[in-house]
Amino acid sequence: MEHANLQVVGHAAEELGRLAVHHVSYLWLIPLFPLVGAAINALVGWKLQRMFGKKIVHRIAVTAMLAAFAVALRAFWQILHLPAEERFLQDTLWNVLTAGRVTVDLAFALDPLSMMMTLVVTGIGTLIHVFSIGYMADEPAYWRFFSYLNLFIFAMLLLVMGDNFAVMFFGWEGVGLASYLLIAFWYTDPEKAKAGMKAFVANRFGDFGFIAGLLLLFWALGGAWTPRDGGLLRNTDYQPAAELNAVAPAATAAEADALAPRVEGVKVGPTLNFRELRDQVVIEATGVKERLVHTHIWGVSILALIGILLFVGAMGKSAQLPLYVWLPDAMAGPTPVSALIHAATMVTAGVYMVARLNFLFALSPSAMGWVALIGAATAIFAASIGFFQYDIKKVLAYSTVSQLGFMFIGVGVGAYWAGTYHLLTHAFFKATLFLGSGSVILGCHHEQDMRKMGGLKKYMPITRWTYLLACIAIAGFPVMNGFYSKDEILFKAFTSRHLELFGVATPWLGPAIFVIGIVAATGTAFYMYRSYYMTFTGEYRGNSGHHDEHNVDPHAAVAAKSSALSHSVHADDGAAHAFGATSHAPAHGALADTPVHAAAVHAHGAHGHDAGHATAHDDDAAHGHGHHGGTPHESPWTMTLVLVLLAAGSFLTLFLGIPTLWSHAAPALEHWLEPALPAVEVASWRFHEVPHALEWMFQGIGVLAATVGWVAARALYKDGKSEVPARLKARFEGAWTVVYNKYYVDELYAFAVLRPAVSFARALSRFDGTVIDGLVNFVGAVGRTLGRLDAAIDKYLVDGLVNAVAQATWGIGRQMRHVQTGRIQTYLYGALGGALVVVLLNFLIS
Amino acid sequence: MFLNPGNVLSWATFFPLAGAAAIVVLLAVRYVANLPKKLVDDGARLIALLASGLSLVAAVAAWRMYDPTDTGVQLTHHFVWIRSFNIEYFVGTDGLSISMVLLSGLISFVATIASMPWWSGAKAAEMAGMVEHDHGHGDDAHHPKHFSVRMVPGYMVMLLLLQTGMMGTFVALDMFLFYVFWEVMLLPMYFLIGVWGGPRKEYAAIKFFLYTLAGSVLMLLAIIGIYYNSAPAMLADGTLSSGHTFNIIELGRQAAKGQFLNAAPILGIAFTKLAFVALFIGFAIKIPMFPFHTWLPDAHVEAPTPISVILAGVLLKMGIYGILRFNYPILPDATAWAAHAMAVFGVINIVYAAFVCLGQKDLKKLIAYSSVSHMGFSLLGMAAMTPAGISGAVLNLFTHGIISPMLFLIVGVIYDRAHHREIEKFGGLASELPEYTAIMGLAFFASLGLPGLAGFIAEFMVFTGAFPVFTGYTIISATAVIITAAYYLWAIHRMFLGKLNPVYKGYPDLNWRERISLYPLAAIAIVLGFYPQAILGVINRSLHLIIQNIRPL
Repeated sequence: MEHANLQVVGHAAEELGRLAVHHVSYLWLIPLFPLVGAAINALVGWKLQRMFGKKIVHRIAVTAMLAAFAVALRAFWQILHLPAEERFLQDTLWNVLTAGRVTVDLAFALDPLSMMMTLVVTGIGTLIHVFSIGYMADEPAYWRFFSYLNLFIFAMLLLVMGDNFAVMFFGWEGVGLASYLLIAFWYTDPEKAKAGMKAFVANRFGDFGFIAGLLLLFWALGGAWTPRDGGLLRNTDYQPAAELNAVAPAATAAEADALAPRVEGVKVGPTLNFRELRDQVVIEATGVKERLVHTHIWGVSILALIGILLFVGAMGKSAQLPLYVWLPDAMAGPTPVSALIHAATMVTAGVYMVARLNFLFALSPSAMGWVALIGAATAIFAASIGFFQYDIKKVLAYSTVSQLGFMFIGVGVGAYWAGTYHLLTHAFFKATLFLGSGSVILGCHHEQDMRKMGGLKKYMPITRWTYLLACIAIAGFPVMNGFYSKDEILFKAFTSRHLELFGVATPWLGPAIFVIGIVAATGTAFYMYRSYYMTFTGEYRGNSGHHDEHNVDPHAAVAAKSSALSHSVHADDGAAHAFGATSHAPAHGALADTPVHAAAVHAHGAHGHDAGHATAHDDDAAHGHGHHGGTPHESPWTMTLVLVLLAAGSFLTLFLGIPTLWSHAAPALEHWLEPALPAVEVASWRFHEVPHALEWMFQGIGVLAATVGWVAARALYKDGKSEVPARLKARFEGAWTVVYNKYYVDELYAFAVLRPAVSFARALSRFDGTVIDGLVNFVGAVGRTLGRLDAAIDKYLVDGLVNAVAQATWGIGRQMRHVQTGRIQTYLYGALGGALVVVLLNFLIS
Repeated sequence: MFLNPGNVLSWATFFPLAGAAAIVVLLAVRYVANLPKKLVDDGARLIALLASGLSLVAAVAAWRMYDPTDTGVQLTHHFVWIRSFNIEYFVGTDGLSISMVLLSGLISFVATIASMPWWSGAKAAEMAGMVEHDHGHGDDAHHPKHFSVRMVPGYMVMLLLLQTGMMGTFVALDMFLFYVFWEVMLLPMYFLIGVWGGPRKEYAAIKFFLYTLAGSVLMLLAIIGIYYNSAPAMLADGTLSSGHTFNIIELGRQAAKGQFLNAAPILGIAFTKLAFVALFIGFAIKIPMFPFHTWLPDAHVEAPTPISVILAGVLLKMGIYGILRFNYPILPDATAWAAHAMAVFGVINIVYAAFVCLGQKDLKKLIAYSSVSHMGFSLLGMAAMTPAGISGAVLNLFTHGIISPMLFLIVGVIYDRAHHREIEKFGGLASELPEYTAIMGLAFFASLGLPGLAGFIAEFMVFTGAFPVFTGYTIISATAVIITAAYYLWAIHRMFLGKLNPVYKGYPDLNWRERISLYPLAAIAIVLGFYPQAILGVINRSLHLIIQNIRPL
């Protein structure tokens, strides 16, 4: 069947059918290779590194990546040659679990969307692995780094290739783990270790939402197929069909499959499988969509609730307000990690998830409204923080948060392909920027403060040019890819009239988001060019060391502390000082390398190995670090090559998104993604139609915004000559301080969440120890007291009675002795008395 | 073959007892033949390893022989024991107990390994207090001798007795036999904590003993009550029992026909409800369920490492197992009546204990409370009485039974070296003990429910199973995913990351004894993370059968 053309407007879209599945048996190889690479380096990496040098370590890791990429290309080739509506490869390994309605397969699927993601992850991932060879050359725990990196790729591939929610969640958490391990890679620094912990726990808040949304969805589907009250569900509180959820005693996958109800051959009911979910929602005949849309729970549309809860998960992983706080701290990790995980791939998982579930989100304008609104708020909020940061990686971190906001605007307003496209373009230009910053940091001997850079274009031409190209891309000039994705997102936002908040139609929201987005885009251009000018133009300030400015800065301590590779943090380890980067070696060489623990010796040893079979880049690196604090230098070719390739990618990917306005055809990527994004046909809303002239105008506005930001940054920061920034700073000291300190959000969290939670925990702990356990001890004490009492009674009462009887008998006997006198008269008197008493008694009784 | 379906469970149960008997004989020989102490100690260790290893072999064989497609009781060994009271020796297994038999065999063996004093290097052995000092007794307050070198034959006898008690409890299908095994566990446990334990061992041992005994008394009353309200049933030899029966399977059948609904009420309360509550409290103490949980942290903190391993790995499972074996099939109506309360207690266990963990300063206490929290998932899942819920609850028993022993072994590793467990006093251990750190990370992440490791699947199934029935409770308990992550990561942060505390410089990393006990569990935790169906496939049918007879109110 033919897919409805995107240009079709109105409700007459052609009905969609089931996804045609092509079962293949090699998809599992894609995640397998990185897993094997990670396992080898984790288990025997330290030994290999000691025996054969560092080369063997990165060869294993990079080979694994190349193999994965090759298989991904093979899959791409196959998928490319299928008709558009049959582009769905599936590969099931085994049944993970089955119990009743819950059945989960370890299965992978590639549709155009996950294919794109897989290529990005393996492709850019490979490049960043190669970059790391040079960047991490001096790291003693080299094997550990590459093991973690491969582990990350494995988890990320599970995330994007997962055929169901469970496998996706495996990856979702797996990338969280890898991220934790890599942020805290230099764990001997408590700040870095803390950053890792923060990332993981903040993400857990998101995971809570993700799980809750997933459970709600699973539950909602349980009732969706059974007609209740003989017809459609009315607009009342939802009562799912209990029998579906509760009693379906399947013990194996086959049984579950056989028990699943079907409508016109389409499996309906609760499922974790994306394809089954898509089929039953998309195909009108099942009635699932109808019921979901009209279903309310606790007075809220169930789809809105599901969407918002799932989006909470995305907020965590993709660093949106208010859960973004972990991402800037995550810069504590090595820079290639920042590029790969905290810019190009992992943080886009939330965007990917929303895009994957496009057909669900599209059914709930309320959920869409929230996604878009949070995205827009994050975009401008993070951009504003980016204005005043001095740490080059922090600038890029906030920029990433901001750009992720743009992606959520895209997938929020329903422009799924545009959001996804921005994900792709961002992956290229942000990876270029991050790796460029890594190259700068390495070249400046682990300096991250832009105030101590400047004039680097002279020393690092390749880094400079690639960084500049990426700046052009992110700022949004039409010569690079960023323009195309950002423009499309903002245009679609403007033409959205369908968004809702709290179930109330808000046609103004789309244009408002557009305005926010344009402002944020202007800011983006400003802070990116600011970073460019501060870093690459003017005079090199690295040697003079700008201490005066440090002293002026009221928050210099913060900057220094958070500066990820800053020497001030590590300089105290003198042993390996000569190696610059390895100055932290003694501390973390341990987990790291060898159980021998002769870390300093080891650092030398490792270096010796490399020198032994040195390649060009090793030489470069060694050379670079030989003279600490000297002039900056360009990075080894492995690094610059990657920069060039990524910059080229940032250019070439623009051809995937040439707007319809220019070419009169759907952009290539939109066309490619179409089969994976049935939302457009499922939804009841459409984007507002605007005349072509207006479209041209919007593109003009986009370019204008970029220009304004660029010109402003150029005027203020080029060559570091202008005094205006300093004066402005002095003039608006208060506002500057607030923004510089990131609006004190971290402090707010510490005050409002962290401390109360810990206090509460301590209080409960004391309660448990004193009250609950106290009760137990009290019962014990009561028992003991009762025992003593009992013993006392026994001793004084019971035994006392016995003794008393004995005493009495004895005493009476003693007294009686006096009676026994031996005189007969006394006895006779006694007898007489006795007889009298008897007679008297006898008389009285009768 | 030597092990056949008719006797495999009995072998699994009585191999350890035979081992204990052998050690007693060895002791007798020692006095007659005046054998050196070392020979006797090593002999006792060897016999214990052998006996417990054979028990594991029998347990695995039973697992292989078990046919998961058949829902009935299998591998039975059945004969009349005391005819006058209709008491039989009746062991057998369904899907529920076979998983516990496997777990019990495995954890018993691991605990036996962990009781060995193998240590690499004289200095390290000295450090752990495993070396016999020529001067003095060596067991003074400042340098307590390691439990593994104190009164070894006695320890091994107790350990083996305990193992017989545990295995017997899981396979017994006669109420009286069950009670006998249940009580058999109690005494060795008391001595193992009370003699080989830490500084407050007497307090902890007596607390454990009395607490559990109080529960047992209630249980015994309920068992007698159920017995006297039962109808006659066929005995193993084909004769009809005189009046009543102890046969659990038969009691379940009678219950399905409404046998106990007409029993005379006691003090105006329906018999089924009263019996349910009495049994439930007995089992709830073992789970341990809030507010009956406080014996657990004390027992764990004072118990030697292998005993903690058994306590967390096997003994805690008996609470849930008992409820599923007795309350659910024999008192189905009362179970439906109590389901809501069970769910509430489950949620309290999960969230309350998680918060208490966050406030702990002692690592072993933290892990003890995390057990309390995790057992709450089982309560919640089984209260929901959905297939996913109850399968998740039992899978949780198994996975927690793999993970928590790892955690306690891990505590033992550091305690053997540092002789304290205070989280704040450590720091930067990752630099000095990389292998230890890696295995600790695996265990902590498994316990906090990281997908890909065993803990997650059970939690996930409990959530999906409980959500349709107890929506609000499920959401509340799902917040535990945050708190759990927080307390584990915070503990890792304080103990392992940051700068190395110089006190711990030169500490030896894992030795082979620790590796042998930890790595198999780690491997199982990973395999079950990706293939929990290995256990689920066995338990599903039996569990679904159990809940089918319960009509929700």
